[in-house]
Parts: sequence; structure tokens; C-alpha cells
Amino acid sequence: MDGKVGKLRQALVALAPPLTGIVLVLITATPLYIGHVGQIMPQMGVIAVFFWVIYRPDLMSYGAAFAIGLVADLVTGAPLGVSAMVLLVVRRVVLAQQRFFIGKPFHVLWSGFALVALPAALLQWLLASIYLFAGLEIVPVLLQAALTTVLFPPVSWVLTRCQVLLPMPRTPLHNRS
Amino acid sequence: MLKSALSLGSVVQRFAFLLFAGLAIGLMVLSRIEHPAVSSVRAQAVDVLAPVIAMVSRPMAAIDSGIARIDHFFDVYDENVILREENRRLLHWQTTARQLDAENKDFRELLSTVAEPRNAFVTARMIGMSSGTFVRTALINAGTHDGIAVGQAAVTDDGVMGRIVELGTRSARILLLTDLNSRVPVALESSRAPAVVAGDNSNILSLMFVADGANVQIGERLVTSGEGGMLPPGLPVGVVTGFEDGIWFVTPFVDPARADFVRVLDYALPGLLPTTREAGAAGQLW
Repeated sequence: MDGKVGKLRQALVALAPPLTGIVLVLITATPLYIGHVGQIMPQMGVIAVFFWVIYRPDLMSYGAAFAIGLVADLVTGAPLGVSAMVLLVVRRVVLAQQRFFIGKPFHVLWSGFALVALPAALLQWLLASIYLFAGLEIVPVLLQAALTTVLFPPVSWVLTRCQVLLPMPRTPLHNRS
Repeated sequence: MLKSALSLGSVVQRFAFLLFAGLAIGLMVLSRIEHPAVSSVRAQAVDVLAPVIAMVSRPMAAIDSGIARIDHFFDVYDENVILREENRRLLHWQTTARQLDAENKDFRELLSTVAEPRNAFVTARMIGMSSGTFVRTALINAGTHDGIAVGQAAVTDDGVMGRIVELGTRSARILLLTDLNSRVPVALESSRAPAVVAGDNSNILSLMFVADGANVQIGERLVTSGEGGMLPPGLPVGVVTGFEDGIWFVTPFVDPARADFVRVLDYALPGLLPTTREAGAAGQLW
């Protein structure tokens, strides 16, 4: 019985980061009309993957990043696989820099995020342009990256609240690369 | 599987990346060649997710309407003045419309015109919007279960919003007029000259294939022409608002971000339109 509870607990912990990412993606898919700027949607998936890869890379696997991206594509009606591909690349790039970010003050993390959000938005733009075989406008993409960067502090604050609820990993993080 | 991948170190990690990247590219290709499986999987996934999206959207809608209320509070006086003026004008139009309606009925009877099919409709709540940079679609909480079919028009009080392109049992996706793939046959309201409005993922539509000699002017209203049998004729689409580089720009009447509910019209021309439904069932319209 105890083993079952333990396993369930383990599964919940493992599922928590991808689930936060999926909830964030679903929130941005809801109709919203705030201050006449509702036409640009932030890339919440990028925030979730960036955050969790830095603090709990063990719980944000490629599979999890892929799943978040797939849900985003399914819900928004975007070409299937585009957001998934972007989040996979984000996970790979951020994982390579993960040790640099650990223990750094928040503004460093934020700047780092900005450096990831812009190329991520551009990659998505590139993939969608190839897919649709049309030169899509780039200004909304830049605005999207800017909005995502602006939303990083509040969203990461919420994610931090989730993160402290999770038990620490058994092996030190810096052994995982 | 993922856990063991993590513990086996970076070689497996790289393998996992390649595996999922390959999967993503595969999905993109399948989606691009419009494989029917992609469409049905997407519709089913949205069906499953729809209640979750609807739940998540409730608090967001509350925040949204709260902000709108504050917004409205500040222009309540100006709005009142505008509404009084509009009301006066509309009362005048109401009288005119009643006269024309009666006159029209008389003429129809005189000419023995064949009655047009009446529109049955389903009203559904908007549960999702992707007014993103790449695609302009909306999700509603009604599907085949409620009698909705692919190709049907989604309208609000203001006019056409788009048409149904993807269908689950309890959810459906609307391709908005502004989407890159949206083409709607229209007619100029004054001269009935045919044209096509096309979306390009921005908020403005462009007018294509305008008939030679058609006298387009800024302020001209566009309505659906009913050509192709996809949409009922006479629904308001938008108004011509600009001209640049030989292209007329059209502002749609409907702002999907402001719509809470949409009506989906079942405009079935008897005997004429089985193809829309058949094509929809095979996922060919996407």
C-alpha cells in the first residue's frame, strides 16, 4: 500500500512541471481582450520549459517539452509539431547553459530568458513560414517575444511557488547534464 | 523510458532530442500533406481538452469582463450620446425596413419566387481563440452532437466571423476571416459586383478578384455573395477602409476577440451541398 502511495506521489511530482506548462498554454488559448492588444499571444510554453529546465531538468524531459508544444499546436490550430519543435530546441539550448543560471540573481535569469525568447519566436516564425510557404509578417513575432519576456517575472513567480512544493531530487542537479 | 534516458547520460539525451525532433518534423509533414489522421486526431484531442479549456477560460473571462467594465465606466457619457443618436437613426431605419419587407413579400408573391431555405442555427460559447501570428482560429463548445458540420458559417450579431473547418463531437474549430487560408466570396453591397475577401493573419482583409469595372469606394459594405454555396448570401462581412498598391483593404465587422457567443448557421441547400459534408468527414477542407 505504502509503495503504491509512494509511486503515485512520484508520478504526481514527475507530472507537475509538464502540467504547469500545459495549463499555461491553455490559459493563453482562451479568448481575451485586454486593452486592445489581445492579438498577440505570449509563448507560455517557452517560459515553462526555460524555468523547469533550469531548476528541475530531471522533471522537464524532451518528452515533456514535446508534449507541451503538441498541446499548444493542437489547441491553437497551428501546424502540428511547430511549437513542439521550438520547445525541444529551447530545452536543448537552455540545458547546455543550465549550470550558468543556477544561483544567479533574477535579473540575470530574466536577461537570459530574453536571449532565448527572441530566437524561439523567430524559429517558430521560420518554421511556420516554411510550412505555410508564405512570408509571414515579422513585427507581430517580435512583439510576441517582447510580451513573453515581460510576462516572465510574474509567471516564473507562480512557477517558483509550484517548485518549492516539489521534493528535492535525490542526486545533485549539477551531475545531470 | 524517459527516466532511464536521463540516467544513461548525454548520449541517450541526444538520442531523445533527435527522436522527438524527428517526431515533430514527421507531424509537420503529415499535417502539411493534410493527412486525414492529423485532422481527426486534432479534433479528438480538442474534444478531450475542451472542458478543461472552458474551465480555464472562465476566470480569464471574469478578469476580461472586469477590465471591460472599468473601460465602459469611463466612456459611459459619450457612449450614451452616441447611442441616443444611433437609436434615433435606427428607429427611422426600422420603419423603412418594415415597409421594404412588406413590399418585398408582395413582389415575391407576384413573381412566385421559390422560397429560400431558412437558416437553422446553433448558438455556442467561444472557449478558445488563437489570434496568434501564424493562424487565426477559434474554438467553440459545440460539435457534431449539436448538429454542426464542416463548412457552416459562424456569425455574430455584427456579421460573419468565419466558418467551421474542424469538428469534434462536442467542439469545433472556426477558421476566422483573417486567417491566411480564409477566402470568402463576397459582393459589393451597392452594385452586387462579386469579389473575394482574403485573410493574411493580420486584422485587415484584402479584396481580391474584383470584377472589372466594379466601382469600389472607401466605405463600401461587403456582404457574402452566397457563391459556391458555402455561406448564405447577404451576411455582412466588412467595410472597405483603404487602398494601397492596387489592393483594397477591408475591415471585418466582427471582432472575434469580443465575441462570447457565436451562431453556427446550418445553411443546407437541399441537394446542392452534400459535398461540403462529405469533404468535411474526410477532413479535406482543412
